[in-house]
Amino acid sequence: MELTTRLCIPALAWLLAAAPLAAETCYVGGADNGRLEFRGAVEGTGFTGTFGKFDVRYCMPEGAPVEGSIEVTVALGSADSDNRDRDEALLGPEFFAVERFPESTWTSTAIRSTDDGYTADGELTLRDITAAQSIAFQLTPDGEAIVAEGRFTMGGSAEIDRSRFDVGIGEFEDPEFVRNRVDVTFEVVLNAE
Amino acid sequence: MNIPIRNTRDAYGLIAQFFHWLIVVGITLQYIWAWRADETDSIRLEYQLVVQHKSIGMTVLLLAVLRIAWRLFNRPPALPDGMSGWQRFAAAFTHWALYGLILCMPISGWIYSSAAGYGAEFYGLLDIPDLVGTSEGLEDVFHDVHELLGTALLVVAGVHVAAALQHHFIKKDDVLKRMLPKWN
Repeated sequence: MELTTRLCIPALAWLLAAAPLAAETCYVGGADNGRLEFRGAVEGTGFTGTFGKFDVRYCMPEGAPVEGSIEVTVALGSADSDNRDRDEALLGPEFFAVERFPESTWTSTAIRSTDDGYTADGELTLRDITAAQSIAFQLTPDGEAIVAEGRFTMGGSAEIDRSRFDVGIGEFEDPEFVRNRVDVTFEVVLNAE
Repeated sequence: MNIPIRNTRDAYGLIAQFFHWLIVVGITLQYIWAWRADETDSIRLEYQLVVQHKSIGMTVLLLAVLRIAWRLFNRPPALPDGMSGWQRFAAAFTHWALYGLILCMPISGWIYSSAAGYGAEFYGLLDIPDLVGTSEGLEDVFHDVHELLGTALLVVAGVHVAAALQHHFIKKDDVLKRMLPKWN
């Protein structure tokens, strides 16, 4: 094989492989133009909180959300449930332990289309534990319109079992005291980078 | 046991006695619950005690409103003839101070709880609406107000009990007996 050919074939292959990547656009947003809310319950009485600081990054080939990937970073120290004692406990060592684990991340591993929008499987890291966690979401606008507008709103929800991540240890482990299920809802406007 | 429904000239009636003693039980429980919540090392028990404290407090508030309304419609028995002017004033002042404190204690606790951002329920059956929005400033103020009123109520109730005992054991009149059922 001639030297030119030996050099050109890998170069061509690399270019072909890289071609779809070149067309990928990343959309970013966060707490400034969105809301990330969590709902839990203590002794059967519900409470709601929000995270004041989080970032979302959704990269996808042109108008193809299912082929994309999503990354979410949440500053756990920004949790605010409108109650001083509860927030102190949430940020403390029994729950988020923000001094040791200031951030939580979620990264998608696969996105599929559903009747209601999309479901993304992914991995959630809370404290020092990483476990599978899926989220359901909708995009407005969706598909090709995303490219035309250069922005979209992503809204959805997830049901997190806090016990899988050791959030709430010691006396708080008891699900009769603090419910294990935490409902997370979000809505964020993502703009093309 | 013989108690008329309404107050007579000499004794409190069944309704007034019912409210009085039920409020005594409620307030006593409130102090015990507050003390237990302060003392316990268990966060869960403290939480449960505070939740129950709020339900009992709302019950006392409801009973106090009914008690005062009943008193306005059904005059209390007359004081003994031998009491001097200042004693009569002291008796009236103590009673109305008690009513005021019994009303203000749960209301101050309600505002404290609302300002702190705790949802409250009435024995798990009804949601108690918040009186004010969440505010750490108000939370601090009403925490102190609630404690201060608690101490004041303890003092005034102490004076009330001491006066009743003094009437019964020293003056040997019927002031204490008027608030007790007659067992004959």
